[in-house]
Amino acid sequence: MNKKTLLFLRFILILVTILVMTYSKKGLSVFEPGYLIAFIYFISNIILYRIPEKLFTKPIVSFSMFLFDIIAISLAVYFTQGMQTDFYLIYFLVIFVASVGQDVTGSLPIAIVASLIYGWLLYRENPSISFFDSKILIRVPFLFILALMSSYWSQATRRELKKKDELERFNKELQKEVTRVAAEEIELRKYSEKIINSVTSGVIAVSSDGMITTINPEAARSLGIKSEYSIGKDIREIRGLESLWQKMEQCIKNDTSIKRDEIIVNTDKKKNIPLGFSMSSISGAKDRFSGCVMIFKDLSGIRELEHKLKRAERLSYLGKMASWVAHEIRNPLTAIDGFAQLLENTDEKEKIDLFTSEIHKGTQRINYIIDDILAFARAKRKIAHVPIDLKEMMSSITKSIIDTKIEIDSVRSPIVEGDAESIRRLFVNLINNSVEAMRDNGVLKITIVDSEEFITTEIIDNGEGISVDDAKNIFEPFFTTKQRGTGLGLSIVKKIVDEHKGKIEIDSKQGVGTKVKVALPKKQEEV
Amino acid sequence: MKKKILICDDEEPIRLLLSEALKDKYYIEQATDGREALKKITKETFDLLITDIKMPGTHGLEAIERIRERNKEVPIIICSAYRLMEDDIVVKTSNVAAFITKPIDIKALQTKVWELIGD
Repeated sequence: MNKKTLLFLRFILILVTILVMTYSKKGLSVFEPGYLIAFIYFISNIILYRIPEKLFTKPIVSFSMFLFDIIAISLAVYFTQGMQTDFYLIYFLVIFVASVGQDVTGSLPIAIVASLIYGWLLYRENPSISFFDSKILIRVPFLFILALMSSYWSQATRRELKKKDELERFNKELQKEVTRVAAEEIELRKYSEKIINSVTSGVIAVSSDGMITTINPEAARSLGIKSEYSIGKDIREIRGLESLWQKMEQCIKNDTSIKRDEIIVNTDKKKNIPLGFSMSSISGAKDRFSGCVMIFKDLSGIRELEHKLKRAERLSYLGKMASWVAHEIRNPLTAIDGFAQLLENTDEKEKIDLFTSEIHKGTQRINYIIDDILAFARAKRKIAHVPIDLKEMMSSITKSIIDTKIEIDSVRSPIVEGDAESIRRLFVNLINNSVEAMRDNGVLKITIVDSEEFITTEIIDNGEGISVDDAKNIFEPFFTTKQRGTGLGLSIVKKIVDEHKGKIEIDSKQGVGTKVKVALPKKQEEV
Repeated sequence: MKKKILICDDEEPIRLLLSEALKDKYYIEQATDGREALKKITKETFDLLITDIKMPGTHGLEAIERIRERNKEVPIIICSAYRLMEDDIVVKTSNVAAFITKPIDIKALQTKVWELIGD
């Protein structure tokens, strides 16, 4: 019960008291003590209005107030000699108001005090009054019953009110929390949107039925579409993105990811966009949240650079090749031309034989150079799939070598698939290199082993070896350390190995020798 | 006594050709690269050096530079597939007597040699 209500009830109580005083036997007149009491009683209510609510609700304060009320009423009645009237009813009112203001521990003492004072007043008026007089026997228990009942009632009401209050407070708190969480979610959403929009790669997310749920500005820019019109659209409806959907659908269906891949996309605005992408399925509890997210980069710029670089490389090769051809061809040509001139001025049989033989050697040399150029410059082609016995091939190649000791150690029928002519050229070049690197007491060891999908051939010589610096450039075209090399031999070897999807390693120590390891696949993939 | 000519070229057929063209009138020695030529010139006196420029090992121009450093006044004929060498700073300062471009005109070579050192 709040202060205002309680003081209002108390005000009614004062009015009723004054009313009872007015109708008492003696009545209320200005110069009587009863008038002063009534006045003080009235003033007390005004003073109580002034004290703070916190202090007012303290049990000791309210108990003192009701005690004061009982005493004031009793004095007022005493002075106005109101015992003959119905003044005792005012006690009921005080007890009722006291019960409203506090619980049974507050109202019961008030009821006791009221009963005592009432009893004493009755005794004062009539000392011979019996304890069993109806005035005592009925009225006093009534005071207690009223105190108990009304305090029970007010306590129940207070409890209800408190519950309602608490519920209201809880509701308010809940409402506040809901608002706060909603605001936070919006902030969080904005934040993640900002992150996605700031990514310099394209990001597209679709739901499992192909609806675009997220597309960042970079993605829209790369694909030449408008991001604001794309969200909520079916990705298949945007021209050119069907191919992306096919990949995404696979990802969603198999719940997998694609780490790195490339795709060419043609949209309305942009043609032939090379995209490097990775994608991953998003698995959610509900269909609404499952789908696929794709991160991609427009590779146009990189492709253009690569193209330029390749062009520059080709031009640089062309320049090197021109200079190389000039030197390589001119030397045998000079010999041929020179010996032809000498031939004109001699009739000595011996000289004629020497000069013609030199002319022949010169043409052979040119032929050899042309073969090398063709093998090197030949465009990448589909290779033939012919079974080749490497053991037989090694024996055939090394048959004509006289000055060097040859040791061949091989597994039985080491068969690889490939182009026989190219593979022969590959090993001729390698074996020639080894033989040329060795002087006296040269031993060339050839080992052929079976290593799962490959046949590995090791060619080991005890020749001069290659320096660490030279080893770096060994596969570079036009690079040679030999007196009579074209500088294309190992480039051609590398090219043939690559064409056959094989592997080559060269391990060399200057002054010790060189080990070349060539692994060629047993089977070539069908194209 | 026959005059002595040193022929320096990494290509064996060219060395053979030059020596066949000149050996009737001159005494011919051969070197396969600049280092060998330098070694021979330091050891004995030659009346003429005919050298290629682009060779593996010691480059012809390096050899010419070293020869001149050692105060050897031997006449030099450069016999190369490259004409651009005439502009080289070493060539300009080394007092090269003549350039012969490959393929070689044997008659012109013989004449040039005769002009430089006689019989």
